[in-house]
Amino acid sequence: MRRSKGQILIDILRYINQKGSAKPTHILYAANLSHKLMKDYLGILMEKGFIIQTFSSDKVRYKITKKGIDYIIEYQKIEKLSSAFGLPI
Amino acid sequence: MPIVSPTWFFGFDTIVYFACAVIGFFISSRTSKLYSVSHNRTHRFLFLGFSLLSVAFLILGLTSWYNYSFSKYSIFYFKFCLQTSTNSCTVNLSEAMFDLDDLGNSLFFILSTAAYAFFVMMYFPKKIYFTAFLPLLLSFNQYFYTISIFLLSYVFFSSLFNFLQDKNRYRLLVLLGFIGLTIYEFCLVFPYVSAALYVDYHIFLLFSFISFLTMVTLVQKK
Repeated sequence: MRRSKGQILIDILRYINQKGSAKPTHILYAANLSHKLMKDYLGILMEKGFIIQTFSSDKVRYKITKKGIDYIIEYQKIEKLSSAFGLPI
Repeated sequence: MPIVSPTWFFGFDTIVYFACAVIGFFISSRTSKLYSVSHNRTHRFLFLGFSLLSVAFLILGLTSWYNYSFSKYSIFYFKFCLQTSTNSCTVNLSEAMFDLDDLGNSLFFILSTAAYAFFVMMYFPKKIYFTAFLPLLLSFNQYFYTISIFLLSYVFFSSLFNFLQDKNRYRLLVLLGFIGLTIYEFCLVFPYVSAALYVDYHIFLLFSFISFLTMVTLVQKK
C-alpha cells in the first residue's frame, strides 16, 4: 500500500529516534526512499524543528529534538484513534 | 406524533442532548487533529460526521429547552399535567403549527442523517458522495427514521466487523458507541409506546457518547 506523506515522515522520525542519531544513507534504506525524496523529507523535518543536523568527523548525522519526540507520541495517539474506528492512517 | 414521557424525567432529556453535544464537539476536535495529520478522506468523513452530530444535538438541546421554557408545552403545562394526571404526560406535537420547535427538530433530523451518511462513507470502500445528499432529501418525509436506522445499521456492522478482526478495548468502545446510537434512532420510531421507553433510549444515547468519550480519553493517555 502506498504510504502517505505523514506516514513517511513518521517512519523517518521513528528510525532516527530508535538509533539516537542516524546517517543519511541509513535513513535512505530504512525509509525506502530515493535520495531526492529523502532530502526533501529531511528538509521538511528540519523546517518543523523535529530533527537537527550534526557533524561528527565531517560526516552528517541527524538527531531528533524534544519537539520530534513529542510529535511521535502525538502521532501514536492519532494512530490509536484511527485504529479504534478501523480506519487506515 | 405524541411523545410519552414520565413526569420525573422532564428536563433530563435536555441535559442529555447538551451533554452529547459537548462530548461530540470534544471528539470532533480530536478527529480534526487526526485529519490535519493524515489528510485522508476517511478521516475527513469521521470528523464531519462527529461535527454534524454535535451540532444536531446542540440544536435538539436548544429546541428541547425552548419547549420547556417558552412553547405551549412549557413547564407550566407540565405542572398543570402533574396536577391532573398520575405519572405521565402526553405531548401531542402534531397539533402544533410549524414553529421554532418544528424547525429545531427538522434541523436535527437533517444534520443527524447527514452525519450518519458521512459515517457510512467513511466505511464504504468506494467514493459515493451522493449518499450524503440523498438522505438529506429523504429526511424531509416521515420515513427519515428508517433511513437513519438503515445508515446506522451499516455503520454498526462495519464497526462489529472491525472489532472481530482485532479485538481490543478501543474498537469495543466504538462498537458500543454505535450500538447505543442505533438503539436510540430505532426507539425514536416508537416515542408513544411507553414512558419508560422514552427514558431508556435517552440512557442509550448517553451511554453511546460516554463510550466514545471513554475511548478518546484512553487513547489520549500515554
